[in-house]
Amino acid sequence: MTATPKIRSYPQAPGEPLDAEVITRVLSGDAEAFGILIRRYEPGLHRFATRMLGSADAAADAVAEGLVRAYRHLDGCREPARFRTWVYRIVVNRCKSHLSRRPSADLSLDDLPPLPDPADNATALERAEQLTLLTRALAALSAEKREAFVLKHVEGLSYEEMAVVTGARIPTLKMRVHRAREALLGTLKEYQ
Amino acid sequence: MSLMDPRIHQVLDGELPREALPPGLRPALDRLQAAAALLRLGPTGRSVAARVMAEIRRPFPGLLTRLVRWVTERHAITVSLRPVWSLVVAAVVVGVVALIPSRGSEGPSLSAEEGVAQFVGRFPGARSVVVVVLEGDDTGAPVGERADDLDGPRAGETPHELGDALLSREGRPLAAARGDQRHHPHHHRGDHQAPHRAQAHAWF
Repeated sequence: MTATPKIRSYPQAPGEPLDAEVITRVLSGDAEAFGILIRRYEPGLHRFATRMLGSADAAADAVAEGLVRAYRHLDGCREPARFRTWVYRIVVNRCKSHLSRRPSADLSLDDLPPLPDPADNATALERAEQLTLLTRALAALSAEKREAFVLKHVEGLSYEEMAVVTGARIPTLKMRVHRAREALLGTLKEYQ
Repeated sequence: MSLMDPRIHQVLDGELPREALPPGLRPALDRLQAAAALLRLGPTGRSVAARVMAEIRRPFPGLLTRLVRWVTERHAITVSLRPVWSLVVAAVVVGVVALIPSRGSEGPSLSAEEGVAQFVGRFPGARSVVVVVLEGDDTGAPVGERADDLDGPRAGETPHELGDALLSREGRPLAAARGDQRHHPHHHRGDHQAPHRAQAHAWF
């Protein structure tokens, strides 16, 4: 098995500017260059926020607030090469803030994946059912376990990156991920 | 108790290759990996790029403006406490309140030559009660009748309908006599060793 870097930056395609270069441009007054970072990280941030909050609208708010905050405090990003973990941390905190405003930190089920269209083929139907089931299973997890599972298995962060993003210790994060896996597997088995 | 074989966790954490897992454990691994892959597919929400860029193009308000806005806007302030800490906070609040001097119950300020005699009389059925303070000797001349230079009220009457009254006016004892000792006379006669005494006269 090849060793992967513990904390990675965005994999740049040939010709793409590095995060650190983009940040230098933004800090020197080229605000439009921030759009490069938005395009680069928005899909992952949006996916994470949606899985955390269970609502596309709330996720869009959290991501937008997080990106604006990142822009405003970009000079506080001490390691531009690690912009990815830095911006994830901001959005993670925005999600926590959104969850704390709810009566319960549980995931909202108001925004479940759309019901499959009977005209869809069998594979699409099955996939939609599984996604609904998974969303419900995620909703049943505590916010901390959900966050750990999504960062690890959906966003593909290493435990070291997760520690930077969440501020939690690695053994704690491992425990949360393990508990989340067991709970999800239990739910998946129940519905089979 | 762990519901999963720890080797499944090790494979998912990249600490063991998949091949190291017995075939019987692989369905659970596959199920979890398929679930993660499915969660990675979506969602395809609207991009917030335009919204973010519009926001950052607007001039950033200064510190004072933001402060004024923060102060004038509504904010939900939530304080989360474990129950045990709420008891500690309640105890601290009670302690602080107990330590604050209560100005309302303070008596009149007295000089070194002055004292306060508290007088409580009970006269069930009395039509009226008058309290007087006597000069140091036992001549019986009531101070309240002859002196105008004394501080505070010297005498008072109970309301007619009250037969059992604490003689006071505006929260202060009615009988406040000058002197360097504290007196606690009861009913008609007070402390006979004191230079000043208070008397209460009740009419039935």
